[in-house]
Amino acid sequence: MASSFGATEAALAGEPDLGLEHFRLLANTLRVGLVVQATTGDVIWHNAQAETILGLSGPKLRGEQVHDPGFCFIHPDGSPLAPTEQPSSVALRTGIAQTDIVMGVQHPNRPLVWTVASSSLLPEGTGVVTSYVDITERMRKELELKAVHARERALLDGASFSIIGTDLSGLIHTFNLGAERLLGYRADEVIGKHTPALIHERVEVQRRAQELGVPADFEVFVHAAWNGHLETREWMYVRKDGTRVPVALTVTPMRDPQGTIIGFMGIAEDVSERRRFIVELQKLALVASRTHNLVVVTDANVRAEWVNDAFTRVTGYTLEEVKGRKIGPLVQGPETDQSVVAITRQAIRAGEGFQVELLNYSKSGRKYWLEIDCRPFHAADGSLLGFIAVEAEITSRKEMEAQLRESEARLRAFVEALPDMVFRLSESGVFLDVHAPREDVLLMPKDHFIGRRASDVLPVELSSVLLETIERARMLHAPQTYEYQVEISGRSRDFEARVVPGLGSDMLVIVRDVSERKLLDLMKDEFVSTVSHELRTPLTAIQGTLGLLAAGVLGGLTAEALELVTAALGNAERLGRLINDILDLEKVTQMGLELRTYPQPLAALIDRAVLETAVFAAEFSVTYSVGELNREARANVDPDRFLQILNNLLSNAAKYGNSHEVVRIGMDRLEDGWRVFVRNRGVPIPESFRRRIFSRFAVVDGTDMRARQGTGLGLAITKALVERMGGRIDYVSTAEFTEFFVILPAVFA
Amino acid sequence: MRELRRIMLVEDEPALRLVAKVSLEKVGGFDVLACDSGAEALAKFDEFAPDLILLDVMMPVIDGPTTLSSLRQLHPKNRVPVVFLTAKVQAKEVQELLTLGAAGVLPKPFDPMLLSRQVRDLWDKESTHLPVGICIDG
Repeated sequence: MASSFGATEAALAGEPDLGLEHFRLLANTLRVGLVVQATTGDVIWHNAQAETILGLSGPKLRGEQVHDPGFCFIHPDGSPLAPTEQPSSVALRTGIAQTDIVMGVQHPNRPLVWTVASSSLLPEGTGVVTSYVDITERMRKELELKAVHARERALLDGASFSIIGTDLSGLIHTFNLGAERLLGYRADEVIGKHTPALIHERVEVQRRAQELGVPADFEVFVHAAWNGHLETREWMYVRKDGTRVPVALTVTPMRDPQGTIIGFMGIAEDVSERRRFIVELQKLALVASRTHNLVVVTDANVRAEWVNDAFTRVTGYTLEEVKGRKIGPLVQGPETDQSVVAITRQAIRAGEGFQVELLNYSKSGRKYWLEIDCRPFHAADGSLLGFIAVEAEITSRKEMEAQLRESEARLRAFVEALPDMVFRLSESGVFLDVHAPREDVLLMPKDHFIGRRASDVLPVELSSVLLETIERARMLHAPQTYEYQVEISGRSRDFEARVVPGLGSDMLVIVRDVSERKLLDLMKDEFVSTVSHELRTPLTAIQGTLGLLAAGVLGGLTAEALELVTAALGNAERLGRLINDILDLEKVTQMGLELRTYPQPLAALIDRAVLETAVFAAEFSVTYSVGELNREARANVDPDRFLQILNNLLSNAAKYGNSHEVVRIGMDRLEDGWRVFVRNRGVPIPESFRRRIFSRFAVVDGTDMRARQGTGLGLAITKALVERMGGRIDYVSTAEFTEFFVILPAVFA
Repeated sequence: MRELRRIMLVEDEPALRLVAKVSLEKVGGFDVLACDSGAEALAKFDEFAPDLILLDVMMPVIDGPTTLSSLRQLHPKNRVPVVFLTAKVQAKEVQELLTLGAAGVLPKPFDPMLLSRQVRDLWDKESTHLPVGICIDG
């Protein structure tokens, strides 16, 4: 900036009384932006205000930096102002000062700024100085004013003004055209007569006189004027033909040059149109915006003046039926809440609006719920003209709310009755709701949970598994369960938690105390093994005895005796197998059975199993056929137990398949395991049995279990064994064949 | 080689004791002394002088293993083979019994028609001084 001062100094040298420092000070405190340009157009000086008004930093203003793109001047009509049209350019070009040019400054980063610019040439043709005055605020106000005037004029243009002049006693001496038009009298008919008797309603005058405490005559109208007030009131004018017209009457005093009141001027405006206009406007505005709503317009006494079609559609009452009547008593019924009705009456009496929800009845007796928004509307003088009620039918919402409340209550009752703990958690693991049959199982008061994170409330070992399970349930969109133990009152208790994705992002966690069940399971297991052992000893004795007898060790038996002893031996053996299977299953499932798994060649085990069961199969006239086996296939199995698995599958195929058939055994290579299958022909396994087939004592109905020597535990044991070895077992059963298969993880050398 | 003739059977369960005794006598043709407890067996050992002892593992008061160790203590010079009878025939358990110095382990329940043969097999193997363990899964 300093560098340009030389030029400025020279330019301003013609100002004799103003020191340079003073000038700079003054220039920067001015609210006017000043820019000095050389004849080339280059800016050689400007004050701070110029930066503000033009929205340009000093360097940009001086052209040392590029202007912001989008910066430009515009004409008042919005069209852009070319650089050559700028006042400084015009002044330099024409040599004529430019004054009061209105321009907009458009800037990409701020609202439009309006300025008045004037450019004057500096002495001796050294350049041009331009002033910018910010008139944005003034322009805005002017625009607003213009809009207001336009609106007012529109109103006034349509109105008819009546002007009646009187002397101090009310004797009419002036009666203008507007008055003639409004009242139907010719001027000569009324001049010399007294107002108000001629053109006012006596009742109205009397009422006002009472309010003011003055005689019911001309005084009523000029009371305020005498007291120096300018009063505008609504009155009812009586026309020559006796009809009424509402007017807004303003009474002003007329004075002589000395200021003494010599008479009054009554300026009246017909407001009937305006009144209608206002009502219509309000009606239209509301109706237009809320056409599906019921709209009722009433007078000040809440008697219906107008209702819309939606009203008729919902209530069954037409405009003709309700016009002039109070609607409330018409539509309210036995279940209408009278306390709400009282609120509405109170508001109406006070001339105030109200918003309520109310149950009403249609003409045909149908109940419907309305949300009523009722507002008063007023005349120019503030007096109440009536009410507009906009009513939305909310019957279905109310019904849904009621249903929701009901089902919530039902659900609540249901949950309260649950012996389980129920927690509702947000997505982020915050407890939203807690139910517990007793508080002691919660470990802490119920209130400690609500609104707090699981990780803050629960011990870390409980919260971590909970949050992990929630995450899993969310990912899988399926309920997940886990069990945990907690010590309560010095006793270890078992709980089963079920995490269920709830509505939205909520999670429900249902926790059941399974300590009793666990205890029962344990007792059952102990009972089973005790009983089995206790049974096995005497059974061994019975079996042994019968075996010795049947073998004739103790001497020959008669044919009859031998038959009986053989039958008894068969039954004893069957009982023995049953007990052995029960014991076996208990051992496998309780992990009491020690498995010695190591990589085994599967083919060899299959060969051996086939060899071992061939004799058994022959009893059922079944033969085994082993397909091509991969001799390299190895899996981690306990050889004895894997043989047990194969023996079970092979003997099942022999027992349950068709006689005189070939049972096929084979092996498939899977991606990461081996699939060993046993396939036979026979009656397919009913699909309804699938769920139970691997459970204890599962035998298809109608199968002669006795004849087939089954205990119903074989597949349960087999499944448990397969799973203990890390594999899985399943089957397919069709009309053509039934195939059981075991999949074991492969071991590769 | 000595012949197997006299077998001492120790079993607390009367029915099993009877079946085993009959089986060994009638099927195997052995001389059998049946004792109902370890105490009785120890008391009658000298008098009966068995060639082999068939000893139940689970018995009240003095169980099989205790009976065996007592016998070895009382008669350190007498290496009469002892064969255990047990329902617990898992590998670990069989191994434990063998380390106590048993000649073998036979599973319960036993087949009375096979018992004598099984005992004789064990006797034969014991006579050729091979350590023997039989594990037959019940």
